[in-house]
Amino acid sequence: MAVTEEKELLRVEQLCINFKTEDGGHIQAVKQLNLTIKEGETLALVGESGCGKSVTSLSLMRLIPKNAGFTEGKIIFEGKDLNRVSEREMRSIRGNSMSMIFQEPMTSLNPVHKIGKQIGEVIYLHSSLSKAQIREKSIEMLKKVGIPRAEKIMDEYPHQLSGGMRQRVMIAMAMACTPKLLIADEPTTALDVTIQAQILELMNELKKDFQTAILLITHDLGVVAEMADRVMVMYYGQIVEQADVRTLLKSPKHPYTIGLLNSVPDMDDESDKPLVPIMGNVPNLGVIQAGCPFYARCPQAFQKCHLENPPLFKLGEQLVRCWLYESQEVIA
Amino acid sequence: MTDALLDVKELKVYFPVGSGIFRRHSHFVKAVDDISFRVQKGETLGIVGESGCGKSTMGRSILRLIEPTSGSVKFKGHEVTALTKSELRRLRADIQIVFQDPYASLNPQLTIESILGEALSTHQIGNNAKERKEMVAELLNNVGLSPRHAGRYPHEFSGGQRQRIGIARAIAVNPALIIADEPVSALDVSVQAQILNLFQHLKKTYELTYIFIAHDLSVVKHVSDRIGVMYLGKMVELAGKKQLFQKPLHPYTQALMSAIPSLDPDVKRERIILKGDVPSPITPPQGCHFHPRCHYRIEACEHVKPRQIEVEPGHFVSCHLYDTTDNLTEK
Repeated sequence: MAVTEEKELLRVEQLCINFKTEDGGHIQAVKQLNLTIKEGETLALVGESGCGKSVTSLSLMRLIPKNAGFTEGKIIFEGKDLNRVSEREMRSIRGNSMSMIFQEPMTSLNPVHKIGKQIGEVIYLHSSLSKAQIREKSIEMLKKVGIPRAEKIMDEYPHQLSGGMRQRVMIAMAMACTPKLLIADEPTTALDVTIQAQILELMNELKKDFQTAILLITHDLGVVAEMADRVMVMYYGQIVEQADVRTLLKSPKHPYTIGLLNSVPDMDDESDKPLVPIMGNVPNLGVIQAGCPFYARCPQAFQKCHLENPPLFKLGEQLVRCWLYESQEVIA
Repeated sequence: MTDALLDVKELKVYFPVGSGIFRRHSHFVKAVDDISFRVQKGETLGIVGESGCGKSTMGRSILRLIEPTSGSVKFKGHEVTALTKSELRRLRADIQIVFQDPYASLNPQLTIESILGEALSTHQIGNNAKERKEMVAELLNNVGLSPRHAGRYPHEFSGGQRQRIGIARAIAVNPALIIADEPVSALDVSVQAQILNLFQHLKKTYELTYIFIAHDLSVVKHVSDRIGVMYLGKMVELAGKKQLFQKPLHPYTQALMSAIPSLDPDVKRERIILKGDVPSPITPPQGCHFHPRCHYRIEACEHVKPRQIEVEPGHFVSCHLYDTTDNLTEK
């Protein structure tokens, strides 16, 4: 890692995302989340289904429909508060300095337009290149993401491509304007492992070439180990632990993080010891409970956990939301 | 060695592909192409492979949920492919299947009690309704659910709980063999571990034999005694778990293993990145199906189908690199 002071690219302060419910109330999918991403850094957001990791990424791009929910807090990207900029300005940011790739490359490409048109559109919207130049640039991008016979694929439709190829096209589109920040929401979950290996390698190469920061959203701790510089673990809409990747995987502190790591069968482990699962199920966001949301599943819970939701405690560079570390300094 | 519980020989499942606009001669997807293996009583055979390799089709064709095109499947010495409809029904009490999607495989209109009770009454287990009710309660207990849940409907359960119900339904009829088709891939990791442990626990309690199909090599490694690796309808390697992981022979197995990200940031795997995608199973490559992506291919791979060779006792591989009798492999 570079020793020089890295510039902060994105800072999220006290982000809350609320969704309206049928009965007129609302549920809070993300609660007071803080995060920062430095230029060229990969931050992984890890958690199981329903923990709020995907909505967080959508809210950064302001892609949550206004009538579905409302967000509070500050999202400061390159010095601008994205919650305050106009829709027009937002549109010039999306796909240009901040872009996103999604899990399902089939549903996120338009099935009725040719690949060339879909990539070209991104470039057309954010540059003043001529038609021929756009085509040239599109082909160049397709080649960069390792698509063989790029010229031919320009005139093909998404259904003619395999899952891995579609994800490459998505990445080519996302990288077409050399964004400062790439948000990757479960980019390899729908892919086979050998294809996943290809895509992860590609993302790492592009990151080096373009100095792009990546916000990686995933449930797969193996992918995290492979890609991330820093990791934030989410549970029930909150950050429960935050550390650099090595610390998090080598000495996790929060019982949930420990539980997650113990639940995954480790390929490199030769012993046949049984897995240690986390008891119970991921709680439903609609159920409002006092105390720590992990209380009911936690093997180390004690009475205080039941009564009060812990704040984040600071252990060196590591942040942990757990009463077991109460003697430490409190961060918000 | 005693007779195998299940003996599959030269199993083939071909699906015809529509003749197309030009009415050319029919093509076939060779989903399962000449696969042979045995399963001993009490063991877990893991089957691993990527999407489209035919692993699910193979699992279903053993039960004749998909009719095999040719080949033989012997279960406890009886030829499954020759059974009549009513005999087949009896067989299905002995071989059960657990599906991937616990949301789609339970009837949403039935309570858990009726779902499990139906399995019992279909196979004439239990003398009367009262007895069956008790059996259902016991089943729920054994899969880690409360008998109080018997009156509920599937939508009231989480994914993990539904998978427990799917498993309860499978063990309800005292099967000898359970085919588990991607039983944990739809679940969150914390719940996945619960279900894997449940499989291990039930195996002991009910003396079960498993064929465990999954795309996740680390999951398969965790549960299996022996592992078969499939690629484009072929079983490219079959070996004991230890043998396979210590000495993977087939280039595809090696690549598959190297592709799995390690949880330990200090472990740097020597990664073999495969070029390209899995080819279409309608027009698989000539010779060895894997040759266009293989780093070690020799000329023979492009024309000659590799035979299955037993390199060490119990370690089978289909690759020209290991075929010493094959004069084509001379370099």
